[in-house]
Amino acid sequence: MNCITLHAAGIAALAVIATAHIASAHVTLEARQAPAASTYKAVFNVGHGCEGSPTTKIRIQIPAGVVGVKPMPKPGWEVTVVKGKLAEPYMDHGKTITEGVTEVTWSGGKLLDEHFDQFTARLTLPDRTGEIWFPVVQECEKGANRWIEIPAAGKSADDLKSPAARLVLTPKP
Amino acid sequence: MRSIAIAVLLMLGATASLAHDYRAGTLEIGHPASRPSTGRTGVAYFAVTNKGDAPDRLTGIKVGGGFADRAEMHATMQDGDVMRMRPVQVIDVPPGQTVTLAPGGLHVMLLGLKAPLKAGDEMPLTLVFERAGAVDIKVMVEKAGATPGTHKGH
Amino acid sequence: MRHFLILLLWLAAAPAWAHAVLLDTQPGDGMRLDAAPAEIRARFNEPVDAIAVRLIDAQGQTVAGPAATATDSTVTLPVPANLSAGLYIVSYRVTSADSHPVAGSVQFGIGIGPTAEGQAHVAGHHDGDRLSWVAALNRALFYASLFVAAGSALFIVLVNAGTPAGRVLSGAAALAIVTGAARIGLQGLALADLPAGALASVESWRVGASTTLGQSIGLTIVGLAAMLLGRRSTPVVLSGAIIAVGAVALTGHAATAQPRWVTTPAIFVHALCVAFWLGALWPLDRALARPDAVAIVRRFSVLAGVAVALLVASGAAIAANQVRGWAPLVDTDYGRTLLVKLGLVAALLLLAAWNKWRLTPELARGETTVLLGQTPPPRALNLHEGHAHGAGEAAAGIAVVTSARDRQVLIEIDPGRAGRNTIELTFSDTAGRVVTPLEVSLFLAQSSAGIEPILRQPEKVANGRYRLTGPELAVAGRWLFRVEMLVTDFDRLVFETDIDIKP
Repeated sequence: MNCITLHAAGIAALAVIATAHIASAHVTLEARQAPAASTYKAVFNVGHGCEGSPTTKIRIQIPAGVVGVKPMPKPGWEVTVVKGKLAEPYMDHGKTITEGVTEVTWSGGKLLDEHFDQFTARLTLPDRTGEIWFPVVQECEKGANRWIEIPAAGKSADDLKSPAARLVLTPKP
Repeated sequence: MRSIAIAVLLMLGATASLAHDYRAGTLEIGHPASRPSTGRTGVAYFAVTNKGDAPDRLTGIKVGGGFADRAEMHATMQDGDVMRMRPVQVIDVPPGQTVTLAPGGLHVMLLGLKAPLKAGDEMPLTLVFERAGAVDIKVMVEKAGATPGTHKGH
Repeated sequence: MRHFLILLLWLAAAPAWAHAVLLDTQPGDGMRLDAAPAEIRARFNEPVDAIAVRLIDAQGQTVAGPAATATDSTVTLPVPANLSAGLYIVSYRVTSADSHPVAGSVQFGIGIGPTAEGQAHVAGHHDGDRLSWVAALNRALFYASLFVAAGSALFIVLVNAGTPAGRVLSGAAALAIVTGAARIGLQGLALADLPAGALASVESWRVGASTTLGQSIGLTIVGLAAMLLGRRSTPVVLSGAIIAVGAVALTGHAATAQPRWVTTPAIFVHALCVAFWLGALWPLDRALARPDAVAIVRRFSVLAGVAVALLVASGAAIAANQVRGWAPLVDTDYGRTLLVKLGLVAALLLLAAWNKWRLTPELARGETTVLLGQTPPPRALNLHEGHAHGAGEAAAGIAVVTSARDRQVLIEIDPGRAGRNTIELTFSDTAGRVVTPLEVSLFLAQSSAGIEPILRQPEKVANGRYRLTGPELAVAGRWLFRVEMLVTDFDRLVFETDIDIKP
């Protein structure tokens, strides 16, 4: 390993850390943007526990307009869904659907603070552009983190202590 | 033809109700109203909307024309049958928020009325805001049973 | 190779991406120390840089000294050796590896415990406290002298014209006039929130005289003056006494409660009966030494029976109107005062019975005993005269209402001055119906004194009602109150408001 390699690695590492601060302190989505009305694989990154305590449960609230939610099972975790009235009913093959998944939960596992893991669900995004937010409650052996803050319209999420996971909907291709 | 008449009537109605709304800077004060009283205390209600970006706060209410000794802002908190009421010094009006003084919740108490309030009476009050300053309003005494403090249709 | 290195660094850096979290401090939050510590240490979960770490005393002044240093994840602030006893706040602002600032404050006390004892140096020199005592004492003197003056007059007129009660009457009437006038000025001070010195100003008297209390006392003074000036004319003395006492029925929350056709006459009758009882004490005592004592006590007994019946009936009417149901009897100050009164009335009735069945025959046999069926007037015991209408509570301290979306929080701070305070938060919807959050957090910050937010978890005391008692509001000035209310697991509301804390 020579000096140049080390130098390059250092710069790269700084870049990683610099961008990481925006994201990794929180529970975030791996792909930050997706086309409107597309089928989207939502991958939630969990980078730490609650003040050092291991994560035991991840709960995700499904925002209005997001439908067809199917969580991906995860070894060591029990996946459950809560179904209820949808805020925005939708048409599927000519039928109006008024009920659907409103919350997805992975529980029973143990994710140490010093480990990283991902929780996945497939879903269909609403047919509009702009931001949508997935509020996440991270429960730990001791305490909980609530990534549930949504900035007021036109405001940035940078000032929020614990923002919800953000997804930007781009125009349909 | 009839629909036009109805539309005109509706518009007249809307103007009539707008007539007792007030503006001060980014604040809008809607539908000040009171109810007939039997004793020496009365109530007043209204709604304040902050259309601006900066917070404001209601810090006092002055009685105009000496129709009562003084006015206090009160908060009522109901927990089932238990009701708790106390005077408050400040009612915040955060940006984008409408704060409603209405029966059951926040309200203005008029203390030491010189005469009982009758439907149709008009009382001058001055609302003192931290940013917007003093705003003079007229409070109309409405018939008992009306729902003051709320205003629909405009 | 390069990719491998990045991955390695990425993995190593991963845990550090979380914001720094304060793990503990020495001295700990809320701790009481016997002597000043040599240094203050704050330990975080990861390496931090100290941006601004300061020690703030109870006057809001930053204690001068060397700057804080950070070693790995511990920040150390040296403390000057001559630190005096008192309360201190450690305010910190640090950044972690992700350069995100993290700030907060903790409190400790030297020689005094921030969570237990109060702060003697803050309390005790406030006009309001002293004035309220003066006002309460003055009010008690006023009622006592008024009732004695009017009662003596009633006794002279109704029971025995020959009683040498004239001097007592004059003295009591004069005292009632002076204390009554003082009440008007004190009421003005309290209403206009003026300092004690303003009693010499026209303003406090003008404000006091404009209230129903001022008008009521004015009428009482007219009645008392009539009694003094028209001493020789029985009708003038009697009507003066009735006016002086009757004016009491024109003010106060019990007298002005609805329906007034019940409450006002009830208070009027109640006050007259109380005056009769209290005013009879001294002349009756004197009468016992006279040869016609038996006749006087007999006549008094007949009138006393009527007075007691009227006292109980009017008292019941007032109480029934003020307290509805049984719970308020023990839950409210008014209810508890009423229970004490009822106990005294029961004692009074026993003594009256004893007076009738035992003392009167004894007197007839020639034995004299001076004990009489007397108790203080029930209404005079209730020093908490309502300023407001029936359901209003005595308003102590500061109260602010702030809203967010469709929720409100009532923030009550008692006493609202720098030092130890009780902060109460009551959450409701916009119609005033109480709602109970899942979780409540309170952040208190004072930017002009450099105090970063102090986080507290108030304790639930009732549905939707949370309380925190402590020394957090240690310095005067404008404090930021940030209240976080967890509505559902996924929905948190934040209320923010500024509240001025007086010195």
